[in-house]
Amino acid sequence: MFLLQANTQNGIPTVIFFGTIGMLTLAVGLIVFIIFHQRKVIRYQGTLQRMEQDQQRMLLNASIRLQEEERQRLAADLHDDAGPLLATARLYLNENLVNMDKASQLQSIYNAKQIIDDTIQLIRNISHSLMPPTLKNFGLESAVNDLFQKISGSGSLNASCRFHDYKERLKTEDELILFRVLQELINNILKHSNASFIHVTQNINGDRFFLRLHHDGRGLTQADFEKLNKSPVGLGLKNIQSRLKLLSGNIYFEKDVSQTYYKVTIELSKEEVL
Amino acid sequence: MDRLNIFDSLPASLESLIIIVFCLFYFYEQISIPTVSIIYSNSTFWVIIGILFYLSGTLFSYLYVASLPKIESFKHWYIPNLFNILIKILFTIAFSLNKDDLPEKLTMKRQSYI
Repeated sequence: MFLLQANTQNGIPTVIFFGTIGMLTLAVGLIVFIIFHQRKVIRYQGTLQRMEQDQQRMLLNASIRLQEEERQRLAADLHDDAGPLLATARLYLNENLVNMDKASQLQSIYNAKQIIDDTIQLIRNISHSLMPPTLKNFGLESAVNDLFQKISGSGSLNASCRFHDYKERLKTEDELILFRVLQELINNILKHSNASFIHVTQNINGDRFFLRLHHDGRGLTQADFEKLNKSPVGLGLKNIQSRLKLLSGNIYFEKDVSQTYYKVTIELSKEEVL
Repeated sequence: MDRLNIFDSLPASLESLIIIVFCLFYFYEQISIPTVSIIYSNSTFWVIIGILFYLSGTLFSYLYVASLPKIESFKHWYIPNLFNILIKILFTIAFSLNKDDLPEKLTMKRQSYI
């Protein structure tokens, strides 16, 4: 009652004056807080979106560069190897051949035949490097086995694989993507890790398809992988990521619990690939 | 007859408080639901802050107006009037915002009857 009797200079009771001012301050404060908070959230979302776009651009760049490199390699193979071989064969089979004696003619034809055989072999090798026939005809398991036999044959490294739940083949294009990812990983191991063994296992757990690769050399952890993925170097790793993105798959790099092996796990959704 | 002339202070204040709580709930929803548009580009926001300002500004006037002598209470009636002007201004801003910003259910859809 005292507060109601006490008046401000304008004659408004103090309680109404301060009450109104207080409520207004609270309302203004609340609105200012909400506006600033929302702006902060929108800014944060923008930053996230920008980061994602950068990452996408980097992956796209990597895949374009890789495609260009592949084209250059193919062009070089055809131009530098097949081209000269065919040109040599043409030299053996020139118009003068008819004027030569029989023995020289036979020798020339034999040489040309040899060179054409070499060219056929070369083109077959190029074609196999583009699409391994084992993969196309017999599937991922056979293609990986084939690859590992070749690696083990060199004697410097022991490579083996075991496919536990691979009764049903994946879609051909998905098998090719997985094979390329494995090839890239194995290539990295051969180049950088100095490992003495590689072991690949495959299994299905619920609706997830797993492909695990173990090796005992120097490897990557997930933090290294993410760091390399964000940097302009590490074209192969970016390529792995963009290939797996096509399958909506994930890849994890980790050190084994025993701290002796490095483990790479590729995880796919079974529905996506079968 | 005298009772009819008394301003129903307590129910009016309670009503104000309840609506203020609803306004706060609206703001809480705006914070928790992620959105890409800034809140003040939405006309609902201006309607809500109009209501919030009006009710916060007049709450104490409504609460204590019945405790004041009648002549005295008329003298302070300019406070609700001021907030009345403010709410109308804010509503005008809300209605003058682009119609496209209104939620779909509030906009009338043009239909051809031919």
